[in-house]
Amino acid sequence: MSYYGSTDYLASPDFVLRMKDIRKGNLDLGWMKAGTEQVKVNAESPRRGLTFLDCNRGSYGYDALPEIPRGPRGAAPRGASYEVDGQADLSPELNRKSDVWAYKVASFYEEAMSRQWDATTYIPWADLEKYERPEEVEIAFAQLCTFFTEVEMIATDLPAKWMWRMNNQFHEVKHFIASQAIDEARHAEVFRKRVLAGGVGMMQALPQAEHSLKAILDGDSYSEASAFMHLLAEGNVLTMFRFSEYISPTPVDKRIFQLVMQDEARHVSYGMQHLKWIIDHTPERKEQLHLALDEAETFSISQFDSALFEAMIVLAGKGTKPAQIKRGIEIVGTLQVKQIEEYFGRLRRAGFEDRIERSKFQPLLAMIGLGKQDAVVPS
Amino acid sequence: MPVRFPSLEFFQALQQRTKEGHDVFEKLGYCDTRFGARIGDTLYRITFEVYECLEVGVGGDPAQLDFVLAAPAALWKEMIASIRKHGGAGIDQSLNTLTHLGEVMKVQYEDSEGHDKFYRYMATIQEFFDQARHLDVIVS
Amino acid sequence: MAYIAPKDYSQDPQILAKVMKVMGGELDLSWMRVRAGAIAARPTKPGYGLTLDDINQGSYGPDRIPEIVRHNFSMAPRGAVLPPGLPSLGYRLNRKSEVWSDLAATLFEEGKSRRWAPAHDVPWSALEASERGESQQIAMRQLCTGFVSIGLVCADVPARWVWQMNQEFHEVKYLLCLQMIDATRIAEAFRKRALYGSGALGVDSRELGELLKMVFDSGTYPCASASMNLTLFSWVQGLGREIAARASNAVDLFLGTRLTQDATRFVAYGVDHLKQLMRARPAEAESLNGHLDAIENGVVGWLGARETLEPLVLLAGGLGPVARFYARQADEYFERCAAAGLGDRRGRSPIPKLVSLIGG
Repeated sequence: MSYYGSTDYLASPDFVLRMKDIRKGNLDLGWMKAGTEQVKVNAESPRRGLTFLDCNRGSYGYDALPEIPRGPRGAAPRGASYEVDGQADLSPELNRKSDVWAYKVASFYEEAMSRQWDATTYIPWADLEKYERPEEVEIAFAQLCTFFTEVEMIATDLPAKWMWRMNNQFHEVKHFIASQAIDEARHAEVFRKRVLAGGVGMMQALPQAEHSLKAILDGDSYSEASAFMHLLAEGNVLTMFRFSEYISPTPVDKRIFQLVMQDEARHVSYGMQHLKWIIDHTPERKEQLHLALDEAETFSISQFDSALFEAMIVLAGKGTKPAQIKRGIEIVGTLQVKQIEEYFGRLRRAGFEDRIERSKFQPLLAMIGLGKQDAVVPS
Repeated sequence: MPVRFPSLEFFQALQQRTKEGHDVFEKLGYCDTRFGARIGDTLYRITFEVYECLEVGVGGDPAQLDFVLAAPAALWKEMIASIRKHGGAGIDQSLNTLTHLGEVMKVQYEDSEGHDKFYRYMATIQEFFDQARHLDVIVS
Repeated sequence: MAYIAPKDYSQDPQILAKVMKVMGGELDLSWMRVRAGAIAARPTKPGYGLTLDDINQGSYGPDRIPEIVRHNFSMAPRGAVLPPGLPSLGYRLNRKSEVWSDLAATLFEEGKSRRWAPAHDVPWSALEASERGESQQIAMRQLCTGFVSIGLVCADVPARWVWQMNQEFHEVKYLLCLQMIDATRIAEAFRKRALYGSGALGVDSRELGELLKMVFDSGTYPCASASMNLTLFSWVQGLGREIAARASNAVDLFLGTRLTQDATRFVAYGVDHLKQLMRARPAEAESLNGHLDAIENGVVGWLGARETLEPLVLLAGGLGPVARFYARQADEYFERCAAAGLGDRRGRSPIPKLVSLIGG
């Protein structure tokens, strides 16, 4: 099932003749007359350097990229000269700009490249032993970090599953996805390291969470999977990172969460801007997204039943004594409402506010005593 | 030279630190945001571009800012004292900890995208305030 | 949605009852006793931080991964307790030797620590003082056009496989994510190089496109790894050295050097992966060699393409230096193939014939 090319070069008289010609010093140099556009490109801000925003010029730019770039299906970079019939067809499946595009995606990529960090050296690991941590708190923290180790790689695997199917004309999106892949690998790495440095070791995997991950990975389209993963799931995780920084037992842990939070917020922003692009340019796809989010929200609700929920309560209350549990419940309850509020806020920002009324979270909020009015971020 | 907190001079001194300690900020990456710190009733606005704090000022329209961190002056003073004592925000005094539940310090914003910039640049913004460790601050 | 929840949990009274029970203060806490095994890993080498090697101890390390993974098809981290009810996420690469390299963790750590950002780490303004003639400028931009294509497709190759790999092999998965960003950075940096100043991209090479499609469409992961990491990146590494050696300005020197460094990590993984695969399953050698016969035909097309060879000739000042570069690079490549356990490929490869045709 491999592709082995269309030419056996050394058996091709044309090719062999060409080599002999070149050896005699006869160069064709036809490629020097590419006929491609010449553009003026410079770094507008010397400190920021040369960004894709600076390269957004003429036929090389993304502003000029149509909804359906007809013709290119291979490895030719956008703006290069190519033959429609002669190109090696990589059979891309995502060929509409609205399939993948997001406002500001070039900026998100440049930001990602600039804000890379290293889980090995940016965290003061050796300091961990300086801080006394009650055993039950460390156990709960190990459960939390086991969960984060478990879920973070979905945000590598899912975009990777779709990236190679995207037309190379959308390279800013593909580049952003590659940056997300390394971000998430780093997150899985940092949480694994934290679990294995903490003294307790790994705790249990969570079946409920795994079913959500499977649903993300099996999304029918990139946009549906993105709405589930970038907007809803990573939005939830972002709120959890904030929570985790808040309850972190040591400054070492606080540092971890401050760093992962930044990456996660960038991914959520991409998801929100991709959704906004779809709503603005192909509003007919709204119903499909509603259906996907109906199911995504259902999976999210199923996760309320898990060891994770209790671990968060123990961490928030700093222990398992009744008063600590009481305080933990108050904090975790606030967190969960906040997760939904922030999700609704992002839907609103993406121009998808009619989702809020239809959301599966509404009956849940009503059941725990919060009306629709309470669940909306004040604007 | 000692600077009083809160004051515009304090924020100007922090701004200067982003130039003098540029290595630290460059390591953290681009940071492009205009945000506010509301200390009691006074709003200070802070503009970051690329790695550096470009401008600080007093007052202005909070709606033009990505987000505003708002708290009573006493809380800000505690935070600055903690930074000076520990060489950086103490465990209970990080910006995320203070803002997390909205009980202590509030994050005010007009739209979700501006709000998310607080998270996207969290480490830079924390480092900006943590630079107070290098200043001779008189908390008034 | 392809995967549907067995029930609508938003209408599930059981879920609500459980939530309300916990929110009412009745915690179960039995999960606190479900632990896999205590460990307190610490950095072992001062200055390196906490590396993957530092945490790879006992049941958490890769030595305990069986050749065929049968116990976990979920995203549960290696070494975690696996409760009943974990679903299968449908991984298709479940055999350790199909993907594994003992070097993966080290290469991942190295890649992170040697990261760079084209926007602000390349001294772009040095191009303004470049003294190359017009034809050499165009030649360099033509080579850049090829590197952009290589970067784009070689980011897609690991993306195509990484999500199909069992999570037990997480070090390899991390490395493939690193490859995605490394390849992306090649595409970004050389696109910017081509456009900077009064720039332009050149012509898409049909032969390069063919080669990249062969690599991209390799039917198995070992074939994809052999063709991209070992074969293609051996030549990309050589081209990085060639660009650095012929550089007339600080930008090309920087880009050539960084390309060499980054490409070498691909090569190192490819060689070690195949070496370990050959040790575990020597019978795979023939199918891999058969695959590389075809890939090397693609390499011949690419290296002989006008859009590759002619710019190199212009930059080097004649065919002679390029022929010598091809000859040297071919030697290095065949040494790597032998080191990978593929035997001596010289006799069956079309590459020596190309080298001989152009006088190398």
